[in-house]
Amino acid sequence: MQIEQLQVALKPRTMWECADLGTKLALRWFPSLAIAWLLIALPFLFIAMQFERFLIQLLFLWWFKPLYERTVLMALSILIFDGRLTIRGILRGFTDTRLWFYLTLFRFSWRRSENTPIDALEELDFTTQSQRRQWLYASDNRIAVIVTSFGLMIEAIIVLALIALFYFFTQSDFNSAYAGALKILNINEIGKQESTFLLSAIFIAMGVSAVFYVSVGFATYLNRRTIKEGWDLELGFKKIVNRLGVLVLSAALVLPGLEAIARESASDVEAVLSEVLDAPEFNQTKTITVPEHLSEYVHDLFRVEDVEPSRIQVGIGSRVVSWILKFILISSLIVAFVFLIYKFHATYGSGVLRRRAKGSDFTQSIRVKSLPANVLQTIQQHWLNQEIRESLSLLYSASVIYVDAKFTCNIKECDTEGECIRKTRDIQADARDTLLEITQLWMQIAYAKATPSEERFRSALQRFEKHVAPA
Amino acid sequence: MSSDHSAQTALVDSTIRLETFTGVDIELRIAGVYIRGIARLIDDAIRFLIVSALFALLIPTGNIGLGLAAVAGFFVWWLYNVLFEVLNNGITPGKHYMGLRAVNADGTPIGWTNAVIRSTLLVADFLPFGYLTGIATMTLTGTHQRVGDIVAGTIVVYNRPRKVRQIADLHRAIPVPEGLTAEDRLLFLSFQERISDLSSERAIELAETLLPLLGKQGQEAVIEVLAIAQGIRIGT
Repeated sequence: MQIEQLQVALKPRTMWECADLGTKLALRWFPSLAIAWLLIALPFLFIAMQFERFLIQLLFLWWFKPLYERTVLMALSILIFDGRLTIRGILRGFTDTRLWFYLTLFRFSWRRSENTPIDALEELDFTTQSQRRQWLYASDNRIAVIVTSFGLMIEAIIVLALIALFYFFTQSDFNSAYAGALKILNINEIGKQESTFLLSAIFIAMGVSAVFYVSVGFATYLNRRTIKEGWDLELGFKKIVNRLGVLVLSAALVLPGLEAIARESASDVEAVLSEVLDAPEFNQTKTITVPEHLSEYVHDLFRVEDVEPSRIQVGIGSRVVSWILKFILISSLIVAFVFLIYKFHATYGSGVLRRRAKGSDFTQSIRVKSLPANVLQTIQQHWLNQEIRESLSLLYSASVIYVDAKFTCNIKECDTEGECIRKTRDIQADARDTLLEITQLWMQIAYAKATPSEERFRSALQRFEKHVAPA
Repeated sequence: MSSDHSAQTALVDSTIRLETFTGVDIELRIAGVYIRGIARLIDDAIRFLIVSALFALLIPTGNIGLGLAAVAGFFVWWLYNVLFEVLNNGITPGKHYMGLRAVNADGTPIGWTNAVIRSTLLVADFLPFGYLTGIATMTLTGTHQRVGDIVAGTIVVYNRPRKVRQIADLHRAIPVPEGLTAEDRLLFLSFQERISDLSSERAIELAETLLPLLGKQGQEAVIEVLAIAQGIRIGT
């Protein structure tokens, strides 16, 4: 993961703010996420409709929810790192064997929304995964239960609202609309048409709810990692270094000269300031028009002189108009959503979506050059200095870079450890196994804080030298 | 590997920045649908209890009592939000429990007109069932406004300040390096406050990010960053 690529403002948030952030994430990429959900959920809807009894249809559709949600999670994990969404990328989540636990043992888990990002994106072994969950969510784990409860409630509200809307718009009077709505809710005596309508309503509700459910879970996961691993601090410190690193160096070289200039010019500062403040740019007046009811407030609070209240009435009328405009906008969005589904189908059907272009030799060469001059020596030096994390981090990075340069595996900067392993499946067996072992060592120290034995480290280093490092 | 950020779109954030007339930016943490949903449930439960109590008291007095209870119940249901929001600084009991506050969109306290509009349009937000319209508009608007908020020009914000941890005065202070902006200084303070959340390896890794600036590695880098933070805190 490259946190520099994240499309989210990183900062420590409360659990409620995480839920708000999740809502915004869902809204930002709703069309893509909804399409990703439909990609898997639609076939299941058609299969469900083949069953005779409504309750079995419903149970079938509901039971496989974790499957549909996984596509949303994978799509979000790509979009959030500014990656390009592909069908292959979305379907990659199904290779995770833990997914099947969510369809069996953990199907009733209330914490699915916050646990699946760890399963799908970090791909740790079971023990490490359990430790990781405890470490990540130990202090704040209520939101997953609240989000699950809220999601169920929203689904129920959407279904009931769709039923109410349908009958109130199609029936001539209130009584028949009410009777129709009651009839459809009596699922023991439900007819074929009504069951199809009800199942479709539930399907829509599940889709809307799933996008928000997964997004909130993912936002919580990001927030916990931000808190526990200081992602925001890392980004901020890097920015400071980028900005000040050069300045500090320049200052050291020119400081004596600057001091002399400063002494000489100190006496002139006042004169210069007066001159600047007298300039026309600082003597312009600007008329700010504010609503009448705010004029007194503006005058008192900000000490703005000569506040002239406007005669514009910002009343209910104009606000209702603005609301109507928003309503039109929302309707347009729904139409746009339908259009996007059509477009997605057309694009995918015509085979326009292609695999991302492979990294050029130039990029690979740059990556190799970014490593220290003597990688092996540096790794060993870190190890001897008890800088285990640095040592394994360099060993892992160097392995990935060398393997990518040697076998052209198209490894991207935003690829997770699991993705790197997957992309190197078809390379020479020795190199692949070496990379796998080194990745395991790295993940143990990075995520489980487990230091490997000296013997294992030496063995990995030898294999790295033999099978991965350039001769 | 690469950190090129060309053609970047705005980052997704849960807060908005409001520019005041003086040019000072205020960060507003706008409350979303989840926490407001819980606050609404609490308020509705309280209103329900009050109205039920009114009916229980007045119904035994006969038809006049029933009529009085109906009228009083209506006013309680409708005025509950208005009175609390105007007289209690935008805070109803439900909002108080969840740490929220209703304010005008410019951050100023809510007035009678806006409070009445908000309360009246709760009915519109309820339609067609279970506050679905309100939930939908809160989700679709970047400022999490329900219909009542959009029409009245109000928002609901988090009222509780973020928790600031107590810092033990254990770190030596050194002068703050030149050129650090207010935002940079906050980062150093944040590092000092959050160091107990970080593993020691990660704290070193973060502090070593500043290696080109501070020239320190390992534990020394962490101590240096903490000393700068302490310098900022005591105003060296």
